[in-house]
Amino acid sequence: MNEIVIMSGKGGTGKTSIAAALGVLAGTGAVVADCDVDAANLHLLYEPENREANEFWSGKTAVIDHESCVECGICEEKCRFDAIHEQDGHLVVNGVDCEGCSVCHHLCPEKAIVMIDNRAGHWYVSKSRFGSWFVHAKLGIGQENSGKLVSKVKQEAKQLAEKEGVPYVIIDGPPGIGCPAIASLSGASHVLIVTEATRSGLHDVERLVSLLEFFKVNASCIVNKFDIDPGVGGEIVRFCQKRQIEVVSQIPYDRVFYEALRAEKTLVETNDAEIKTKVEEVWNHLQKIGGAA
Amino acid sequence: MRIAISACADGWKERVDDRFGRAEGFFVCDTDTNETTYIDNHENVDVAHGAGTSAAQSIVNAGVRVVITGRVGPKAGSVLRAAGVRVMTGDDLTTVEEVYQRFRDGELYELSV
Amino acid sequence: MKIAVASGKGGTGKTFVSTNLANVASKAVRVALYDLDVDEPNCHLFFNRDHEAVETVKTMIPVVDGEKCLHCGTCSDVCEFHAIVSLPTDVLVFPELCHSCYGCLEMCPEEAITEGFKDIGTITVSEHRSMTLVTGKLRIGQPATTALVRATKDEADTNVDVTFYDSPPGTSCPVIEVVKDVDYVILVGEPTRFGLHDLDLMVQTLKQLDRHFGVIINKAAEQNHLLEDYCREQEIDVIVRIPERSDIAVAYARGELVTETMPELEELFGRTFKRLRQITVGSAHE
Repeated sequence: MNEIVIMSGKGGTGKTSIAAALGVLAGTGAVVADCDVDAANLHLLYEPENREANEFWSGKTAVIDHESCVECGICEEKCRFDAIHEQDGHLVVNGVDCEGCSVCHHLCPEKAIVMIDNRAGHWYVSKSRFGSWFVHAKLGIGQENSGKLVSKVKQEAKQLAEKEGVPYVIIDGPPGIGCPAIASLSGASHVLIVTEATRSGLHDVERLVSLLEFFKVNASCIVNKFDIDPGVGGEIVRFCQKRQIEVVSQIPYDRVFYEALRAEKTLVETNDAEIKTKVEEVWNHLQKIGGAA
Repeated sequence: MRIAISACADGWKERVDDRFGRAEGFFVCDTDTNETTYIDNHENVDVAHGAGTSAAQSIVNAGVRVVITGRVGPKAGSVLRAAGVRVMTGDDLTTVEEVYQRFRDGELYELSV
Repeated sequence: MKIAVASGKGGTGKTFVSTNLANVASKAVRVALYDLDVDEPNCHLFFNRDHEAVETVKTMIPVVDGEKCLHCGTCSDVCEFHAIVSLPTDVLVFPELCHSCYGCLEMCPEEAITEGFKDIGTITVSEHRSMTLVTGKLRIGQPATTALVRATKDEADTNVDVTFYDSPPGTSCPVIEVVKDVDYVILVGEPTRFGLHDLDLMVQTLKQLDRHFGVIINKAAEQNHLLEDYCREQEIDVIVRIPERSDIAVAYARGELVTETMPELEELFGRTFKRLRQITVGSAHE
């Protein structure tokens, strides 16, 4: 099974639009997973039927029982996350700051602190309007642990692909290079980078490529909005060559990204033949890599 | 000697779980006494990080000397290596019973971790 | 006064707004701009910096004294993050899993664990005319985004009138760490389906956290009122609209500050800053 993760470092480069279009081209030959769980958007284009909704429990939060608490203050002193403070004469845990480490629970001499599980969000296994399997999630408002939900979505997509004999898993990855990005990388066969021809795009792609090298994942790259600043675009291409990353497509800045979104369509469902051809070329490239792996 | 097989549930007829860190559980069998136990690893299935080290800790605590599984991550691998636990695998792992027999027949091979 | 600039969706113009707003504000008052998008910090690309000082951020990891350790297994039992593994004759520490909670150190009955450190990134402090720029930069391969955001915020410059935080994208832990104690949050939205969806997530998050906030509509087009309609329905203040113009996109792509090169945008951001000061009067603890 081939697992392709679409990543961007910087947000707003067109990553989700590209991922969505690739998923359509792959048809029922791919399970598509939206791992940008913080700000999941693919479902807006895929209009999934939610076949199966599951609660996602992850991490813990400390809760102080005021009946047995003697307000000794040990927990407040020992908490490294500054999550425990006095409030109206009682020691109270601030759930937003609590890391779930259980140190207060272990050190409380009165055994007045319990750790409760967090319901951190939901994940769904659905069928997209194209008939393909689609795994996505929604992080609870103000919840933490998005990295864990990324892992969950990815795993479910992989298992589903294995069970159903689907050859590809296409993952819309999270932005950045931190915990969720790292979680989306584990076990990936290939990463498709979608960047843009801006100073920020170049800077972010440099950091993303270093991350991919750190985890030894091979990658290819699309430079979007290429004509916004062809000078920077050229710098990105040279940078990729130097780091042995094939630039598979240069896409000019195109209103079609915007128009497609407004019409709630993917790029390959528009009347724009040029963008369609470009995405098809990328998909052929990914299949070739997949065939060789 | 205790050997552990990553499994989807407790029992000889159950399917082998290909994963180590995120396996549903481990079916443990003592080759001398034929006594079996089960280590529930379910709470590790959903963790983002640390599933491997946690599962490896359980294996070490249970006094297991050989693990049979499909794949092992780098962190779990370093724990098992440090603890001197051998990791074995085979092609097309099916049920716990069948894999255990293949192990006894010397048909499994060492997984480099 | 502390103002965070956040967005939910990436690429809506968060860094564009925070750099230009900070630049304009710094002509009137003392300003510090904190780049808290530590995964991919970009604010520094827009400024000529002087007096750059870099410090490494370290967080605690346990170091086990093999002489004192009796291999009781308490450390690995209490570690919620499975970062420490106890073997019959050895203890293994996995720094990338450690959350620096000190649980193992506190609980070890033999006091065999002491403080060690791992590098999670850097904080760079530099000057741009009268503005201070503080940049957190995550070390490649470290999952410690939130810890570094916290450390960068703590690099407090108390000698300023206004502090701007350029927040990471998304709605989870690192963003919450940024917005949880600010006086005001600016949400930068773009009028697309994705933009609206993610703006709404951020609005719900800020309501839950009881934050005072308003919206800047970026890349606003004449005939598109997607975000205006949403804000009216939700009774959210629209601070300003920034038009969608290709010359702005090109200038930004090249790393220019539009408030230096385009007089009408200097005027627009100047007006925006004035408006922000009016809005935040009373709610700010300066």
